Amino acid sequence: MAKQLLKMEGITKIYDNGFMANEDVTFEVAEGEIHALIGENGAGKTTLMKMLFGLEPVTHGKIYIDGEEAHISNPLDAIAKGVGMVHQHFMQVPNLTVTENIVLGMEPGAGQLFDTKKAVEMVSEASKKFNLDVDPNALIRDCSVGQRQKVELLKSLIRGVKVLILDEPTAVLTPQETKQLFVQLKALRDMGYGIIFISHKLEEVMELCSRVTVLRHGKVTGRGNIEDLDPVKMSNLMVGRDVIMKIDKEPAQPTEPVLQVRNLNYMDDIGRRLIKDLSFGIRAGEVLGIAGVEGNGQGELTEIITGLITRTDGEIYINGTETNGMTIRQIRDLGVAHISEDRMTYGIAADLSVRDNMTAIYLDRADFKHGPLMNIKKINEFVDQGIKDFEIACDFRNEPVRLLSGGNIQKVIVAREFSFGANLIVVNQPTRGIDVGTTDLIRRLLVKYTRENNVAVLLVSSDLNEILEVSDRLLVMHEGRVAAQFTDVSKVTDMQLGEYMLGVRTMTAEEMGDLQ
Amino acid sequence: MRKVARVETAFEVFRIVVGIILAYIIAILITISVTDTSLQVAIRNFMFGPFTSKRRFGQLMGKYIPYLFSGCGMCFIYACNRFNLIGEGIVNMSPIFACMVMFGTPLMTNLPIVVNQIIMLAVCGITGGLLALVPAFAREKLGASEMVVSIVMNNLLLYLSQYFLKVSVADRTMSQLASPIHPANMRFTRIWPNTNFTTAIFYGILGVILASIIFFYSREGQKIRLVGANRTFAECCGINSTRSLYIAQIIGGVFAGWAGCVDTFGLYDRYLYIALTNIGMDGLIVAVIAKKQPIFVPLSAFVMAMIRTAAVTLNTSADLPIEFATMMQAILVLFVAAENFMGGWKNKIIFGMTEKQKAAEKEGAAA
Repeated sequence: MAKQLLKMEGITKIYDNGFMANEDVTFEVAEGEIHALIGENGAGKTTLMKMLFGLEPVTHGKIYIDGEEAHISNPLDAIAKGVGMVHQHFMQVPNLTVTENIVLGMEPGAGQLFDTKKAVEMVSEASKKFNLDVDPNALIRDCSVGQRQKVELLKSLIRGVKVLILDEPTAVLTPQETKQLFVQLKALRDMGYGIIFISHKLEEVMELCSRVTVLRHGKVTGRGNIEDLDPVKMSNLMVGRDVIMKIDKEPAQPTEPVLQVRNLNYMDDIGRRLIKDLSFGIRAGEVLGIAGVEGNGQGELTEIITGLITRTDGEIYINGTETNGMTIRQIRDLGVAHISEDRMTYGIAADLSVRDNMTAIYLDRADFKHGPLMNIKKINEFVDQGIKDFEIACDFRNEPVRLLSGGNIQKVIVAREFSFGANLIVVNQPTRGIDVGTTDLIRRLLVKYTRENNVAVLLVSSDLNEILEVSDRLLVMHEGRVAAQFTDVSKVTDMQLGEYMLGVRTMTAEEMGDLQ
Repeated sequence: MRKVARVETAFEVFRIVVGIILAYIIAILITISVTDTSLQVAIRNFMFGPFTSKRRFGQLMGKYIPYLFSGCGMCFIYACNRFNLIGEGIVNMSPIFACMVMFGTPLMTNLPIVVNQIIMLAVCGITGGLLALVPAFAREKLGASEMVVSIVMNNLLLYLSQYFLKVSVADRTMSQLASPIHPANMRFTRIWPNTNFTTAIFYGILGVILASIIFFYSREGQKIRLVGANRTFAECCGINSTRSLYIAQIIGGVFAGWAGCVDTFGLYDRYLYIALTNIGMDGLIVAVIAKKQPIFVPLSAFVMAMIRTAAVTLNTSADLPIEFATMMQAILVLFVAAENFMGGWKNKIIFGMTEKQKAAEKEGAAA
């Protein structure tokens, strides 16, 4: 039997707000194995790994590395003890080169001097040794996501770690890049590294890993060798029921145009053209999904439409009104609701109460005010109704939002945004990192609002399951342009989408048809 | 998680109480170690000194009333994450303009005292609001730190107030720079004769009520709190955050102006300031202890006033310098502001509660 590299024994994690993220978890990794840690979003995978990497303190339990008990107090400590982590969102400095990023904190050179040549040599050598091909002199901001991931891997490997944690490494990759990553990971496995592969994509786990540990609600619900498991068994262990949620919906009957985008361009502050001549439209009564690898302009598109950032040029009409020069408030008043992908920054004020958060956009509404004062009675009624309708699990309306779970925080946002009669709902990654119940609720609501209230929905998501289930019409974005349009979403396959997302194929204007 | 919210609140209160007790213990220990005072006398003077005579209690109230205003004002500024400390300079500057109206125009001569008090408060408040706009403008428009600008301005306002007094309504018969004696119908009269306890207390109470209403029940107050808690989010909700930041700082300035008004026209017979008063800076400490909530200002202002008065009492009864109070304030603020003070204990309780709840759930499921 292979030597045991790592053992986490009886790990329990309770956050300051009393939320128990892990309960009595035991987890092992042996030399030369890729061990999958799977579970739904919010199952406690990332928390467990954060404790291993020293980002969070352990409440109870012990960690053994190479058979010896280890107390890991911070990431530096973890790296010194042989544990490296590749985060989902890369920890890199965009304006520095690949080499500078990799050797950051361990720069070669005499005294205070930085020996660039030696650093480049170190990186080239490591890149050859581990078969991770990178250009040592390229700037990080010019690198593709796949390249950046290699940089992240090298950063850990060059520091001599033996256990590598990969937190959903394929979430930002195209199917083709994913395949390449797997080849590299298998090579590392054969060199004797222990790799922890966090994912909720079962087919990837089946392809890559030799052992699996399944988490649900912070507890281990199953573990075993991959040969003894199949996707159905694993999904049952993950959620206790079928993973793929089917939404029964009637065919959409789009009516008048609600959003029209024409020749939109956006250039960011370092001169990258993130949106190029983009034109499309959404009609009332339909969900338009936008698929694409993250970073191809979808995020910026939602921010421009909702007024958070300013377009470079082009036209946007919402309900017939050009929004150029309008404030966020004026755009909201046109009937736009917005659910941002980063809910803790754009969606809530964590220290304020459920009530304060739910009413933040209603302060100037006629029925919620008494002159300069708020109509507290009306506001309380509204909030209580919202808590009831959207099944928000909170004890009282003045409870600080930070004490709620991720799913309930998202429900607070949804309750606020869906209650003011908007006829254009712009949502970006609405179900990322939240429990299955809330995910289901939000997806159903999006469909329901289009069918019953004649609302237009713009849905940006990197969850293909979500985008294929909820959308009535689908656009694929690649490098700031529309690469494809599918009007019959039920016939689209993952592989097809992957090709368009990567830019291997692009539809012609005739193939796409009318984008409005 | 209602229980968690309760534990958090309980610990907030507990931390402040422990902070006060520790600050007192340290102060008493220092007193008995560096002076000839016995432990008994030190405790009596320090803890009960302000309540031993009407005059001393009046002295406490004299400190308390301006703190009510400056503390409430700082709650607004602090709640939107701005450290505009201009309140200190406003306390010196705003009564000068009230003196100009008082002695330079016939407006107030024959008006009833209550109307005059309102005029004085109005002039001081408006001056304060306008002055607070300067560091606010520097920050919101020019990107200069409001803290640095306001600290520099405090000294500027001190000397400017002296200059304005000198060229306008100074009493030339006095050997020092001062205004003429405030006429009987243009001041806050004493509730207890020969003490500092004045009718300004009623305005103080009204001020706290007003601040609490604005803070918790008005739309502007709600916007200020949202901007302070998460500015990006507030902007995403369509709130004009810059406007809210200006409003918060103006409100802070108005309240600081009122603090200057009740101090000058309540405690003193003439405008006598020749140095900064510390009322503005203490206002920040009051707001910190009150956790940025005007509703708690009456309590925190009382604690501050007591420390200040106790220090004066000690100064007269033992040979301890009056600056000693500043050290006590520092100890107090240290414990109150240090959120992780007793954090381990708090977490242990929360962890225990969660574990208990999980165990109960398991038991319930098993049954």
